[in-house]
Amino acid sequence: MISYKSKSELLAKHPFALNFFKKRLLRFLLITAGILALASVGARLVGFQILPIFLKLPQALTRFFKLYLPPDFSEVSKLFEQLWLTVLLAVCSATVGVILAYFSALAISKTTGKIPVLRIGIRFLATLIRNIPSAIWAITLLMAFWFGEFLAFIVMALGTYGFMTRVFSDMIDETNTNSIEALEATGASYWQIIAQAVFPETLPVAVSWALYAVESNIRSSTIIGMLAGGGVGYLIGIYKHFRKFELLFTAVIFVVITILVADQVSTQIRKRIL
Amino acid sequence: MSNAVLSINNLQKTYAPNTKALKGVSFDVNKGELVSVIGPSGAGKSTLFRCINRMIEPDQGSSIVFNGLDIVDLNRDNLKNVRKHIGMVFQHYNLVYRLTAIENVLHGRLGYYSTLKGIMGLYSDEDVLKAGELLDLLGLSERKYFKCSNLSGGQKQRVGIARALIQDPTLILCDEPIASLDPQSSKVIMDYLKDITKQMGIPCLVNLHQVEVAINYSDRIIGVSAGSIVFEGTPGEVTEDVIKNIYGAELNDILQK
Ligand SMILES: Nc1ncnc2c1ncn2[C@@H]1O[C@H](COP(=O)(O)OP(=O)(O)O)[C@@H](O)[C@H]1O
Ligand SMILES: [Mg+2]
Repeated sequence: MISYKSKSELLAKHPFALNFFKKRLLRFLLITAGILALASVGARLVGFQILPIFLKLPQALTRFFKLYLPPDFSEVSKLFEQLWLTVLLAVCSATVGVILAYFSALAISKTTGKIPVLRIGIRFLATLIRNIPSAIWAITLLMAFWFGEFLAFIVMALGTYGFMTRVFSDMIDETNTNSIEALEATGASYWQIIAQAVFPETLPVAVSWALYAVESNIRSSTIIGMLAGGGVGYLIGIYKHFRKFELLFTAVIFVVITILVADQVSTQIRKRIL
Repeated sequence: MSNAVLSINNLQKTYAPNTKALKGVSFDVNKGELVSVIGPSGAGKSTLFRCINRMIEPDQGSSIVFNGLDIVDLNRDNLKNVRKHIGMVFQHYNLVYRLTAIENVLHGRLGYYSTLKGIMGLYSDEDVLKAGELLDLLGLSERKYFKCSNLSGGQKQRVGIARALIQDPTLILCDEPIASLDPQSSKVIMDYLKDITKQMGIPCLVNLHQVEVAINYSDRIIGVSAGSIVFEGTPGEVTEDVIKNIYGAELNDILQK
């Protein structure tokens, strides 16, 4: 049994201990109040009210069933054609984006980037591309490349490039520099070292990220296709425009199935290589 | 004199204005010699080794004559040519662990290939067979096609030695080759290094932190302390006083605690 001093003695000895916990509680309450205030202001602004959501739920559901059901499978062959195109676009744009990103990452990584001008230039470019959302790219580039699959391809490749350059340069920064040093000592040249040491060491992680890029592009291709014109997204846009909701619902079902399948396929591949 | 493979004169290295890691080091390494460098940690041993093949740039005014050529003022292309002939063995093996043993050995030949062939790993049949032979010689005949991540420390270090040997080196630098190994593997590695100097005639410069190992295996021992050579002589000349002189400060530190 530990015997403690009296409370007043302890208080004199630890003047800050109680204050510390009081302050902590106060901080927590202030932050919670702040978040609640922000949320209520925001809700007021958009006219959001909790109660009507529940009250109108049955009505919304009935409307949904009336509009979307039963799904209309009459244009399935056209849908599959566009779906296939979407997957193809996602894979190709991811591939191009990933390859360009890998080389850019080599140029900007601390371990492999040897030319300062290139490092700064490419880092700036990649950061810029990454921080502009795909939707904005689609709208801006619409002026340069006409509406269609090619625009969708460019927009998705840019998205992949911006994100993967960052990911890959971090990955290369983290790879062990020991083997690079050893190869330098044998008189190997820069690109020999990249190909024989950096590439094999980073390959599994890079492939895993490339698969992620494909998945992510399949997911976003619907929205980008709607904006840029191409693939199943474009089709969904048309269905929406002409209020063909039964067809739209069929398209959505197959998009979801495609995404789930892609997710499974890449999980399986990842398991094999890592 | 003509026997010297490596001749270092007044080697200096200043990292930052106030950190002088090497303060004018001079010594030779001769054909058929195993020379050990010993000294406390931070004495400048690794810096010394890395200056020899200019993985670290020595200060102006240093002179490192290798095969009759002063390395200090070579341009990059000529430097690569010199590096082809200097093998290097590392404490942490420095292998590409996702590749097989034989692929890692062949990395030692990259300097002899065009960039493109090197990138694609298009090694000549002759080199591939040599790599196999070297792995046999180092007792790794069963491990040639193992991924290096699956090898033990001692096996990894033997792959590292094979990678140095396939360079057809005139000199091998070993920076703490046994510092990460157990006594058993350490003995195997040191025996191989001894064979390499005596039978293949390739001189080895070895940085060791175990004095007994240095005494057992070296032809000559160089003691470094605080960036300067404080002892140079045969293993027989290493007395208690010499060791105190080399490790002096550190020993006192230990005694005070
Ligand atoms: N890259 C570096 N930058 C600055 N100082 C360094 C660097 N590398 C080593 N040093 C310093 O140089 C001295 C010698 O280091 P090192 O050659 O690694 O010694 P050893 O291998 O004998 O332990 C140490 O004081 C170390 O702190
Ligand atoms: Mg060291």
